[in-house]
Amino acid sequence: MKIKFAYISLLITLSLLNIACEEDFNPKTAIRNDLYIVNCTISTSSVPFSSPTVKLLISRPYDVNGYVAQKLDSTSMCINGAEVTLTYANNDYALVDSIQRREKLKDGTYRYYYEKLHYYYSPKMLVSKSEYGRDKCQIVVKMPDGHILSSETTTPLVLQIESNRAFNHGITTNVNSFYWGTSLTFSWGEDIFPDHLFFSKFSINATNLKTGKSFDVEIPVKYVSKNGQSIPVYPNANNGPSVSYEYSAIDFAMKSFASFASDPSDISINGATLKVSDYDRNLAAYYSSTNGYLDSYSIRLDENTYSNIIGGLGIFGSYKVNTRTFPVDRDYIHSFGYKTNAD
Amino acid sequence: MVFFNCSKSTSAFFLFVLILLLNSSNISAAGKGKLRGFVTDSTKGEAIPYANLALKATPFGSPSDTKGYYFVPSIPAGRYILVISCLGYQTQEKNVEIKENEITQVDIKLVPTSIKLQEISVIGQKSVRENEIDLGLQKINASELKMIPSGLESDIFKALQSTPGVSSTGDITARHYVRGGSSNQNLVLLNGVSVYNPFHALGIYSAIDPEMISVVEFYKGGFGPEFGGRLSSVMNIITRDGNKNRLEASGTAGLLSGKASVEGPIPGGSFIMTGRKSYYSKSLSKYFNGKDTPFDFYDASFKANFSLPGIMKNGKFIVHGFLSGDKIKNNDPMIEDYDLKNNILGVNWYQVWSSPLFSVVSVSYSGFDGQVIPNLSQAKTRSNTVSDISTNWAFTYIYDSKDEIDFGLDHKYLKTDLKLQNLFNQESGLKKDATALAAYMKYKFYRYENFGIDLGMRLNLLSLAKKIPLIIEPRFNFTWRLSPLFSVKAALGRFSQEVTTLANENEIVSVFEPWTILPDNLASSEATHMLLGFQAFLSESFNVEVESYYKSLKFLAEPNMKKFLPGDPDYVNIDGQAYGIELLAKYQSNDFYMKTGYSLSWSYKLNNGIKYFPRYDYRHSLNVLLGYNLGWGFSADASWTFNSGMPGSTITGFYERFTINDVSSLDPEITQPAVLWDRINMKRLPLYHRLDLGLSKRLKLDFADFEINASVINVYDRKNLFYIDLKTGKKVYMLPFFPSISVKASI
Repeated sequence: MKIKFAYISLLITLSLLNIACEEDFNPKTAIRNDLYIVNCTISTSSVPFSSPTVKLLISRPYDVNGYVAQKLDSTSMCINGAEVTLTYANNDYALVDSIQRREKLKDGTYRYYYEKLHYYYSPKMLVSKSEYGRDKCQIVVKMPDGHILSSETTTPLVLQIESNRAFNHGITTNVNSFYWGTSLTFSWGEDIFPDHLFFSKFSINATNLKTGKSFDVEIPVKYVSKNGQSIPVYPNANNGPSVSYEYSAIDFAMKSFASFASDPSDISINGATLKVSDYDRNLAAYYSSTNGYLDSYSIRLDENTYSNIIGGLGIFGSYKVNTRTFPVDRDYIHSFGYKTNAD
Repeated sequence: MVFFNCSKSTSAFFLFVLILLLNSSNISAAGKGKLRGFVTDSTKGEAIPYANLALKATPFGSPSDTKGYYFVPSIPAGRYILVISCLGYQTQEKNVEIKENEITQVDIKLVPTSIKLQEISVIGQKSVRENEIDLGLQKINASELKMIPSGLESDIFKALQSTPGVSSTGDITARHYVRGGSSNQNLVLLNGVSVYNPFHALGIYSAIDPEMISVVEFYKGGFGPEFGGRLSSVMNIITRDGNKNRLEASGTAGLLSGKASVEGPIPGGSFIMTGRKSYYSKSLSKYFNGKDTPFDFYDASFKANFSLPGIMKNGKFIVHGFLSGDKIKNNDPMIEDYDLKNNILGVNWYQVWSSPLFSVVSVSYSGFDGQVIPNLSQAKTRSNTVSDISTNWAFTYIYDSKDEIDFGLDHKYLKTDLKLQNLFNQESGLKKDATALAAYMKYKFYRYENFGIDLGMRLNLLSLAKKIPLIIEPRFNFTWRLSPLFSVKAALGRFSQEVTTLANENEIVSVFEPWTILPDNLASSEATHMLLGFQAFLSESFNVEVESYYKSLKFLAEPNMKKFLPGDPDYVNIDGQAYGIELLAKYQSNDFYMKTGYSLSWSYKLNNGIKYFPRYDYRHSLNVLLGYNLGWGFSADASWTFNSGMPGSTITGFYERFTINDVSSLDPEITQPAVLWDRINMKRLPLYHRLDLGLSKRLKLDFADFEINASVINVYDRKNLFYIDLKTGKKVYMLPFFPSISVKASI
């Protein structure tokens, strides 16, 4: 009886141990070799009639060991030999594959002139027909196997950036806060681009007069206290028409220049620059789909990356970097012990 | 709010009612009387639901309802012996005299037995009314809840997951899916009032403390016209009335929370108050893959019932309330916080009229307030408030023919406010308020001993959504007893839903699911249920139920997964279908209890012509629940769950995804490797199975009664795959071997 009981117990234990084991599971399916990914951006600036730059990359999916996405040698997923046509403001441009600029060596291998093996570029300067933007663009990519991918976009307008107060002698925080508030606000129109996304970067440029080196310090919108330390908070991407910087944050950043020299009088403040990058609706949608963050607890198993490439994946979008410079008030600079260009 | 011209529909409805009333009045009541009363517990005075009352050696009898009320019509005048039985209670016999054209009132006090298993088996007993129409209905009482090894906390929703047709997407969630329907298609009622967020701790537990539950009626489909507003299921939770005879207090300490209850008599009735509060527990981190999560939750409830015989004879008033709150407070400005609250207050008036008419009038408020407070993190602001003021009038009239008619009005004023910040940091909001008014009628043909039919309809007179739902929702349900041991049952019905949550079913952990009335651009969701099944009582202690179902779902409101731009709609309409077959076998003896459920099911959704299986679409599901009375106050229980793999999305490769690093100088050559997903949920995860064991001991000391419960989750430490973390490549498993203990003291 005891032996029978022991056998049964052993059998049950072994069975439990067996079923407790994990089963093999492979979440992978076959790689899609017929899929192409085209990423193309057109960069324009707020300078009228400036020449836009276009960058384009074509790739294909690949496989790696395991389930974690890893970077591969770019040659293994690059596509060369595609015919790429860009129509920009009614002008057609043929984009050239940088891989074609290679030289065959005697040993049969190639020397590449560019590291960017799968980089397509325009050998001619693009011409914008509009002073303010809104140029229509189209790309058509014909793959070596005949597969065609295409997409369209429109370049953004030039933004007119204004501040919430007029500074007679440049930016200063020595203002009447009851009248002007406690922050410096820059705006660029109201809700004219509901689908666009804006990134602001406000920085002050200075030079160390001893070393002759120039450097920028980006101003945060504010500082918050965490565990007794001040943490800078920089502006988020948003589609609002303005951005505000607390005067206290500007003061804090101005003070920080002192750390770049042993004597504050060695620092010369050159001026302030606000850059507002304006993404068109395609880039805006792409950015939001690849930088989405809901919260730290939700666990999602899939993701939807925006694509406007017909016949494949990827993004074709344009953006404009709008730049405006401001002088910094002389008295304000002196209050920190720094110099101005005129000193 | 939408009002529509329904003159034809309304006329048809009232004509239908009239025909039924006339038809019923033809049944002669000469020489006959009626019997009615309440069945209560002799020690606590609480109502006993589902007790069987039968007049010995006659076909006359009736079960008590959830309020302990029973009514037996059309009994020939004379003397009888009334036999009252309810498992868990000593069977009682009582002499009654039925007088011609009179209603005899007999209130019953049943004496409880002390054996736990006998209490449990109240749910398994054969109803005295053999043409009972109960297809798709599961009745669960508090004792059955205790049967299921509780882990950290015993839980009504977890208990339901052992019912065939009910599934979940993991060990860590109390969210349930019924017969292929989404979790927001389940109506949860607490004493008749909608609960909008019935969860604690991000959905891990239900917010409803099982200690306060008297009985749960759970309709998996084909529910009657008295319920509306949801497509899939109804869970009607009725809380205890409290001890009418003496003051009693109890306290329980578990791994996660402490709770206390006080109950006792008040003039003309009784009261009960319960409270539960979490304490900070590292044990919860197991649920979040080791992540420390500063949860803080509480719930509290009260219920007072009283009669005023001097003012309102045979009337009873109930005032009840419920509060729950959940917070995650990180004390770090760079991490978001959460704050969710439920508030419920209701008044019910039950009245037994001198004619065989029973009425319930209730007025209630149910509120939900939830928000994600991003602080300075990247999390997006989300907030949601729901205010629901409802009034219900429900009447039941029982004819001499044994037929019954239920009719009533449901009025609801609902206000929802949903504020979201999209990925562009743009605030968007959906603020709506509307009034719904529905009239319903259900005629129950109980006049034939072997045959029962419920014929009903729900008439939506005013609707919440702009695009009106179904105007008439017909409901049909029948039972045909072919032999004393075997009955065939069927049900058919149409249902509509005008509220939805912003829930992504592919989020395996979802923080909070805000509610809203459907946006104006969406059609109201519709469902059609078709059910067919049979029930066989193979012996007094063993019965088998088989149910098959087909469910068609139309215009479901799903979050738009391709919302990339602020102008894109938040929701889209999609369709779906579900069908399957379920088997439930129950056995009980004095010392042993067994419940086995199996389901074979299919469900899918159709979005833009693409068919996919939701994550809760298990093909096979098996649950075995065993309980055994070991004697000397010990009882043991076990549950084993087996599911075929749930759907999961697959990887069809990797690609270099263009990454925006420097926002003012984009370069498509700057890329990050990314996963290329195949079509949603195309593959199945491995099999899921888990064994849980529990052991409890009751101790009776001079000053208090103690109950010690020990349980072990996942006894053989099965590695059930939860998901694969594609950032680390590691497989994340569901709950591992997990022992726990709780102690309850009652004085």
